[in-house]
Amino acid sequence: MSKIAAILWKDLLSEFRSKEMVISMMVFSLMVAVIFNFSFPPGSEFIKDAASGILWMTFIFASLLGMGRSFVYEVDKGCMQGLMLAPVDRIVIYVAKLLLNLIFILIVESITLPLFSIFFKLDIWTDLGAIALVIFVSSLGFAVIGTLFSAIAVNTKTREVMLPILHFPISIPVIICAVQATSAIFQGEAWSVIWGWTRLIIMFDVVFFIVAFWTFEFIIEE
Amino acid sequence: MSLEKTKNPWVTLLGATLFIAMSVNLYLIFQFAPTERSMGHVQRIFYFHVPSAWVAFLAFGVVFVASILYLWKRDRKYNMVANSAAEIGVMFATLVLVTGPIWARPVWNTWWEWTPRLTLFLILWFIYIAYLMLRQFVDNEERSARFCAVFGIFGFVDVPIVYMSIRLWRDIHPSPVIAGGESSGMHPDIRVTFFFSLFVFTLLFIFMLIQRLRLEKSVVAVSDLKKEAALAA
Amino acid sequence: MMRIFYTLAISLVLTISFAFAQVPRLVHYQGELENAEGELFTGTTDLQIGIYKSPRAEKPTWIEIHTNVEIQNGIYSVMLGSQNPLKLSFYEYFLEAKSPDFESGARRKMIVGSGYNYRLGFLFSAYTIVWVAIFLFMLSIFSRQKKLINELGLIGKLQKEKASA
Repeated sequence: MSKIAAILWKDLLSEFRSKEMVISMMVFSLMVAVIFNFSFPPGSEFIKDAASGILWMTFIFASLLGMGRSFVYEVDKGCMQGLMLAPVDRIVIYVAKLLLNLIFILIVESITLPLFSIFFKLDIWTDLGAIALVIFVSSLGFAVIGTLFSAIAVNTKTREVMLPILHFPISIPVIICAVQATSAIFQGEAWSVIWGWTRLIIMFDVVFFIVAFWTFEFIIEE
Repeated sequence: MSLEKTKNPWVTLLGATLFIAMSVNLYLIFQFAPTERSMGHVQRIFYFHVPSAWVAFLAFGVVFVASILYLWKRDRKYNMVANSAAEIGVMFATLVLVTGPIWARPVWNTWWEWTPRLTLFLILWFIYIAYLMLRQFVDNEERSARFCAVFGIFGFVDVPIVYMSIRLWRDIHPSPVIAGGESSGMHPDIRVTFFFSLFVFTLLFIFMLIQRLRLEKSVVAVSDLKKEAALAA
Repeated sequence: MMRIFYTLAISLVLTISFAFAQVPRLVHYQGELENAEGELFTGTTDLQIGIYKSPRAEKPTWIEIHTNVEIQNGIYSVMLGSQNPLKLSFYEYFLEAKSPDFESGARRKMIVGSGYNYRLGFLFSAYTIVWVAIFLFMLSIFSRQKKLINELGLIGKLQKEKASA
């Protein structure tokens, strides 16, 4: 546990100094939200139905942007060797990176969401608990898949392109459930409907985490 | 470094059997099988649409098993099997995606309908296209084998999950077009044709996999020899 | 990877050119002749069958006249394309039957359901795509294999020469 915290702290510290990642993710996600706004005629009513989809597209693009960088420094600056030499299990590295990505994504989302509700005139405050839960479990799912695949993608020739290509098809179940759950919340449906989708996301998170747990050590072998 | 220049008699036999079986299958599909009442002749697409889907699943299953075996045993040949099967699987998945709309257009009056099965195949196709791209974009052979094995495992585990989520998603927004079920009360002649077709396609898959594997072996042999020559020079 | 793209691209091109070649075909059509009150016609009459692009289109896309059609309880069956070659593309059409002896009040029927068997093109194009794609795939494997074996022989020869020198 303390080993995880140590790696996590190292990464957080370097991020706090530069603030590169969080700021670029944030600006990017706001821009995506604004651009999506232009894809509808002004004053259109469709936007209410499409809002949860737009919200998730924004979050997904921003989190992919962030996760794509999570191993870049390690590989480019040769820190990976250092990490590998450290007397820790490979899986500790994975969990630390996963938590780091999750923290970044959650920070960005928690700032984007209120702005999003202003832009799209959505009420997020009455069901804030439910929204927070759905966002948390879905972001966890993205981070579980994304951390693993960013470790793969960073070693390919076309890093930035490869991560979304690997990530999207695998994470489609999470995306479907997240969009459904949030749109159920926005439309004021019963808690049982929302929980049905949320439960599925949790289940997917568990499955993906188990597979990632077993396969991560094969990715950073050399 | 031995390369099979001499033909394996069993493979030749398999090829000959396949040729005969495919001709018989042609007869069964276009002559023997009765014309379906509500869909007409176009229903005959069923006899190669569904077996293509089956072969695609089979191929991806082979990728999954070979990937696990590779990570476990670290034998190059499992990697070759996975690569060959993935390529064949993508081809058959593409055929499913092409013949599906051709069937859907006259029957459902639309080229594309987001039915669970069609959607599943689209996503499956994306997963394995990504798999093949990953293989191309990693330089180191051993490394690409490991990455692809991991992704192959992930991709196959994802299949039931994707299907489940699409199913639920469709249930929430039911489609107005409800197509006649594919296997609802099959006529015995239809069933015979269908299962024979399934058998032929499975045989075809085995034959293609053997041939593709031979090619893969030659590719590896040539690249090994080149590396050796480069080292010697 | 590239092999799959080439294979499918070639088979698609071949098949599309095949599928869109509009060969005139015969279509067996069975319809019902009734007036606005729902009364059915019985007897022998001439029928003018028109196919329209929409339920209200004035100009028919295709028209054909069948003479002395026997009609029992409003049911008639005709072979479309037997008088005037039938050349239609894939989309749905609306069929209307008119008779000089009977004021037909029925609405135009959309022909896309079971009566419309103009579908062999779909079947053949699907079948061709499948087999052409498989054939080309195998062909590419074999040709590549042959090239590699040649290359292998060449490398072996070079090595032998080096060893002897």
